[in-house]
Amino acid sequence: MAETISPVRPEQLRQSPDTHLRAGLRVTERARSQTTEKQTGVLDRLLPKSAKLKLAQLALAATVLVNAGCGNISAPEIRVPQLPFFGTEQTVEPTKAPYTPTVEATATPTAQPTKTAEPPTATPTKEPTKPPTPTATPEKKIPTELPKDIISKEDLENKYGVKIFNTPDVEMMIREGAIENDPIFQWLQFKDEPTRKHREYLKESNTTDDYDVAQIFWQNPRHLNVFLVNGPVVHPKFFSEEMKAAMDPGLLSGIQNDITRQEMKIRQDFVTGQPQMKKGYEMIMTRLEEEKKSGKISEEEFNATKEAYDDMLRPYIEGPTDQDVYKRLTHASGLFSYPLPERVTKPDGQKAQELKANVFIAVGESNEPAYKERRLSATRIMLEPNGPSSIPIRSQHSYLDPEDFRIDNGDQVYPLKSKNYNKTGSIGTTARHEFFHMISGHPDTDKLVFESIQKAAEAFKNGSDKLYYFVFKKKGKDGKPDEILVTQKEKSEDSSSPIAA
Amino acid sequence: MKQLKGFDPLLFLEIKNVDPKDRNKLSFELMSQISEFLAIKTLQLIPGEKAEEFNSLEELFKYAQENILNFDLKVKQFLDEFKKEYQKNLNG
Repeated sequence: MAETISPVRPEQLRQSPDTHLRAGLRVTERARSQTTEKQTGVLDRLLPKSAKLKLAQLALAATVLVNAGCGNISAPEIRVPQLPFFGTEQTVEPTKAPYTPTVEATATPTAQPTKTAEPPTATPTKEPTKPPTPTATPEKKIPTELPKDIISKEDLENKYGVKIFNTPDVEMMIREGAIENDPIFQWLQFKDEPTRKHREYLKESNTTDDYDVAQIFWQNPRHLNVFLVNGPVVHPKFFSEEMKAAMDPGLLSGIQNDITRQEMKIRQDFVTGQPQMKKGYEMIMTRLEEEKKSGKISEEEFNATKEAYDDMLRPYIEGPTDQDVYKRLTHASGLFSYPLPERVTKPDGQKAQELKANVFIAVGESNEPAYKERRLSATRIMLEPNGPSSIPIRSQHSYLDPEDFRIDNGDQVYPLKSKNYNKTGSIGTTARHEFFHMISGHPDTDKLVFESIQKAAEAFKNGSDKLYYFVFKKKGKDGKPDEILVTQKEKSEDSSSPIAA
Repeated sequence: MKQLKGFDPLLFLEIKNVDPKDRNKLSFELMSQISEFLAIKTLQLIPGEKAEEFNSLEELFKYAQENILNFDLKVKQFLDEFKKEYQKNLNG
C-alpha cells in the first residue's frame, strides 16, 4: 500500500494519533512485504472485512497475547468488550490456561451459576435441572414452585443490562436457559450479527467507516427494559409512572402517537361500517330465526349465537367502548422497540451513548366485563364456523406444547395460532414473539416462536426444561397461593387460572 | 481464582497524552495492526500447505498454540519486534 508521510516535529509525534497509526502501519506493511504470494493470499482470506469480525479478531489477538503472558491490564469486571480493553476472562492457574475461543469467552458471564442451574457453557459440568417427570410428551402441569435456575435481579441488571418493570400483581423472571438461547440475550452479550436495521441506520447516517460501525453497534453498552403493562393491552394509559420515567421520551410519545392514530381510525371505522353491519346483522338474524323454527339449531344455540352477534353489532350502534377499541389495536398484547443509539445522561452528568431495546407485555386484566367476552366476539365466530362451541377449553399446562399450535401461512403478520382457535393470546407466546423481534420481522417472528416452542418441547422430552425460560408469577388473591406461570396464560379466560412458561 | 486480564495497546506502546476523544479509535486501530502483525508472523511459522487449510484466524492461532514449540515465547518476541519497529518509525 503506498503512503506519503509528511515530516513532523518530535513534539508532534507524541500527540497526533495519525502519526502513531502511520508508525504502526509501516510495521505491518514491512511484515507483509516479507510474506510469500501464497501467504498473502491466505492472510487476505483470513483477515476479516466486517467491523464486527474485526472486533472478534482484536479480541482473539488479545487472548493469544494474554495466554502468552503479555497481558498488561486487568479489570475487576467487564461486561462488554469495550475499548480500549481487549481481553477475555481467564481462569488463572499455576499451569497454562487452556486455549479459549475468544469471542465466546469475551461474552461469557463471569458469575458462577446457582447450585442447580444449567451452566451456560456448551459442555455442562453439573446435573441439569430436571423437569418434573419427563414423559413421551411434555407433561401438562402448573408448577408449584419457582425453578431453581432463575437469574437473580442483580445479575440481570449488572451482568446483562436487563431491567424488568413488574406490575403489582405479576412478576416476570428469566431462567438461565435464555442466556444461550434467546436472541435478545445473544444481542446483550454481543453475540449477534449485523441486522437489516443496523444497515439502514448506517445508510441513513452515511457511516461507512469500520470503526464507526463498531463504535455504534459494538462498543456502546447494551440494555433491555422489559415493561409488564398492567392492562389488557399495551397502551400508555396503563403505563405506571415508574415505567414512563424509565422510557426514552421519544419512545413514549411514539407509542402514544401510534395508539392515538389507531384509535381514531378504529372509531371512524365503526361509524362508516354501521350501515353494512346492520344489513348483515339483519340477514343473519333472519336466517337464524329460520334455522331455529326448522329445528336446525336449538333455542340455546340461537340465544348464544344471537348474543355474540349482538356483541358484534353493539359498538356500531351505540358507539365503541374502550374494550371494543382495544380488541382491534395492533400490537395489543406486546410491543418491541428496536435498539438504536440513544443519548443518555449518566448520574455524574456525563453524556454517553447506549443501545436500549424495549419489550412491552400486557399482563393485566380489564375491569370491564366486556373484555372477558373477547373470545365470544362475532369476529371470532365468523372465523370459527361452528360458533362458540368450537372455542376450546384451555388445557391446564405449564409448558407451551407445539401440539397446541399451528402455523397459518395465510396470515402475513401473526401466523402462529392456537390449534383450535384463531389467535394465541398468551403471555408466554407474546413474550417469545417480542423477544424474537430482535432478529426478525413479521411473519417470520411467529415462525421462529413456533420453532422455539418445538425445541423447548423436544428438550423437555429429553429431560431438560431449560428452554422454557420465561417465568411469570401471579400474586394469589383471596387467600389463594401465588401462581407460577411458566410462559403461558390465556388472558381472556378466568383471570385466576393462568398457565406457564 | 478468576480474574479478567487484557491487553491495552496504548499502554504497551507507551503512548501517553492522547486526547480522550481519540483514545478509543487509536486503541482500536493499533490493536488491528498488532493483531495483523501477529497473524502474519504466525503464518510465517506454518508450512504453506497447512496454512491454506485454515478457514479463520482462530484456527490459525489454535493450530499454532498446539503445534508450534514455545509459541507463547514467540508471541512475546513478535510483540517486542512490533514495538521496536514502531518506535523506530515514530522517531525516524
